[in-house]
Amino acid sequence: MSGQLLDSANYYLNPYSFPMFITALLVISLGVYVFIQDNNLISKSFLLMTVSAGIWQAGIGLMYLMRNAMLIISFYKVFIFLGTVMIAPGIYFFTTASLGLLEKKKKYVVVNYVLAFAFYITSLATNWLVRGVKEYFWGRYVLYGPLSVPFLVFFFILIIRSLILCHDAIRKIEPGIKRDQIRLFMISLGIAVVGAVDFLSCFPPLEVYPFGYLAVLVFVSLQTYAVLQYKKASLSEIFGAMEDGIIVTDRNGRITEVNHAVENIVGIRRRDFLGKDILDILSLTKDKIENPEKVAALLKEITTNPGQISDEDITFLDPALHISTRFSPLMDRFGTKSGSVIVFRDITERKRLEEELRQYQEELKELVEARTAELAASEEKYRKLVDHAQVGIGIHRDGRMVFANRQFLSMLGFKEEEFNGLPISRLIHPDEVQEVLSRAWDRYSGKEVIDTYESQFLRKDGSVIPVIISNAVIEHEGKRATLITVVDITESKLRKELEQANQELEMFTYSVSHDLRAPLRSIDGFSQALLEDYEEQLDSVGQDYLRRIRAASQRMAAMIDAILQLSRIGRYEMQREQVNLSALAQDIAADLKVTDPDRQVEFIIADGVVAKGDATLLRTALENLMGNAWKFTQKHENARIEFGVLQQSKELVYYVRDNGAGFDMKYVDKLFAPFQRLHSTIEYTGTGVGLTSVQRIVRRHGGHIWAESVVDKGTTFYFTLE
Amino acid sequence: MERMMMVVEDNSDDIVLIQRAFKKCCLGNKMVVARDGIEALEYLFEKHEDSDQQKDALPAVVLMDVKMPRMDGLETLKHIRSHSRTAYLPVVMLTSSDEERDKIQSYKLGANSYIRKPVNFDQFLAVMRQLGLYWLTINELPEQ
Repeated sequence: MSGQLLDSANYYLNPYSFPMFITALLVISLGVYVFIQDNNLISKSFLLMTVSAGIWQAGIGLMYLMRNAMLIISFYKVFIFLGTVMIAPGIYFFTTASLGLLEKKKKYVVVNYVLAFAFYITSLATNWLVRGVKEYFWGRYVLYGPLSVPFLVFFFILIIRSLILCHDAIRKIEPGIKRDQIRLFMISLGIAVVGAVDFLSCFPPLEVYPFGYLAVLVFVSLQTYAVLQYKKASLSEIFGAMEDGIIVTDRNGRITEVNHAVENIVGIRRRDFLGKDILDILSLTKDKIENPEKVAALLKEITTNPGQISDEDITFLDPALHISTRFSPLMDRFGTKSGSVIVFRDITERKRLEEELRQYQEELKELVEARTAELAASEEKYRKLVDHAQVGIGIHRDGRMVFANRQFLSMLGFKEEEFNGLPISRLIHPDEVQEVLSRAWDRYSGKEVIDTYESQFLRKDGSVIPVIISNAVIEHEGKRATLITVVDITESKLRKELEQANQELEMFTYSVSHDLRAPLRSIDGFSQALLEDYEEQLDSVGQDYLRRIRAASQRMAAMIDAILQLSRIGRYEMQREQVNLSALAQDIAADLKVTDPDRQVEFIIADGVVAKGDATLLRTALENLMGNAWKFTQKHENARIEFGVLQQSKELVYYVRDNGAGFDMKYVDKLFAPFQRLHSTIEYTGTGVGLTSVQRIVRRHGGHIWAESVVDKGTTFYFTLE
Repeated sequence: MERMMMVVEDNSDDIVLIQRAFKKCCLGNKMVVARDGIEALEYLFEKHEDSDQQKDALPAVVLMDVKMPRMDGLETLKHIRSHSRTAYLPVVMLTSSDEERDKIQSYKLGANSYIRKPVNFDQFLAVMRQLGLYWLTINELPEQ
């Protein structure tokens, strides 16, 4: 056959064959195009289908050019029928692949091809399909035998089966591009059925030119369109299924695409958007958003700067949503703007989380800050507490000092730098080291020890100080250490001793006051009894002696009183207050005048002299000084007593001045000593403790006292108070 | 009925001098002497067979020294004031002590007066005269 096939004598030019060739070329081209576009199972099955149809059409075209009947029969059986028989299984294969049913229908696909192959073999081996050739005006065409009937049945069953699959798919599917595509697919299948017109010419009464190629052309074209649409459909499906709202505009700002998410997010129907200008978005949404001016500014920005990507967060009021929007330009492959895309993303949840996180962070920050401040404050507090503590606080570890506060250092006379690392044994009195260390050891080993006890420490200079120490085991820089608290009891020991001495003194003065007076009273009393009851038996000398005994006892009583007064001044608890010394002096002057109304004494008392001190003690002091002045002016006719104050450098100096007897300044040292008198008791009475008392009072007020005197001209006592 | 005075005093010199002073002031010798606080309380609260005093007769006034052996004046005063029978008994602290705290303590415990015995016998005499005059003749006490 191949020899005849290549022999040009068997051919003639027949223009009726051209449409077949063109159809075959187009059909195969389409299949290849789709296959190149998208190399997947669908495009593969499509290619298989189109190649089958191409073989069929090209074969028929070639057949029209042939003259030899035998060649035509052989050619038809071997070549044309191969294409024909493959078409129907190809359509079925393609349909199942397109609808995603291939997995389920795989065995049918295989069975179809097996059957098709069986038809092919049968037709090759017998004349059941092609029984001859008939010449028509459009050329020679085969005469079909009885096998053509089951073949047609096979063919139509597959086509109808495919149609049913499509129909089922349409029923299940949502309206959309995919559904449109399947519908298109069905139509093309319908047209494929029409392709069977090719067979009609075979039936004698009709004998019409077979236009099957037209149907094939339409079918394949529609299929191509559908396949290409499918690609678009998947994009569109994504577009529709996206949770982000997307609005697409053309280059003029007209809205061309809006997905369903926009409806959900913005709450405005798709069709209200479509065809509107991008600027209309504002009027559509202004009632629903918090700050329309922001959107207006954004839209203006987009229209004036079309190449920019702009992001903005917009807050919707009802429902309350946070929407992030992104406007980005769409560029075609030449880099010119072909439109723009607006993407809406509901970030309410994200915002809420962000806000929650922000708040949480804020709270955490506050907490941390508060805690930090608290810690700093408490650390500062404890640091101050330790630093300013009036007890020594130190830490020793492994027998060496590792920390000491100021009081500890000053107590022992060390500087901080020389103290750290100092062996603890250096600080303890040698007699006590054993004791202190064994206590420390017991403490470490968990034994119960008395942790506060008296001991003796050594200062840097080697002097010993009595202390009370208290210990506690602590953790210091991760190691076990001893916290030692030390109180210097030197002063408290002294105070204790002083208190004891004071108590003894008090006991002493008490008994002086009571016990020493009693015998004096007896001496005086019985002397008096003798004078009265035995007057006649005693001569004048004896009576004089008795009177001297009485005078002496009374003087002694007065001295005892004076000592008591003196000691009382020392023990007296002072109450400091503002004291009007001028008023005090006036009082005392008045009292003095009463004691001897006959005397003419001029008192010159400065006004408004005040001092801070104890009123009772200051009165005693002034009483003594003015009393002295009174006493030592008794022999002067123009007696004058002055009280006043002078400003000397920074000090106030108070003075009491008289123009009385005065004294020789060479005895001034003895002036304030107790029981020292510069005048005889016969001349001037007194116990000799008056000025001692005054001095004591002045000293207790933190001042000092001195005197200036000229014999027979008078004396001035000066004193200061703190 | 003639009222009498009670003197609680351990110093025999003082007792003699007080007796002498009373005599000088014509206050008679109606004077009971106790040598310390215990004796004084015994006299005030117990029977005294050797006495012709009525059992329930109390002295018109008690002159009490502060410093005494066994029981001192302040302690005795406390006992006297704590018994209803002697709650209003006039007690005059008559002492050598010039201590402020003794004075305060005495008044706190309910002493009626606080007198310091002067060393000068003339002054002592004057004090005793006034004392006797006041407590035996001028002062009045409730019946019960």
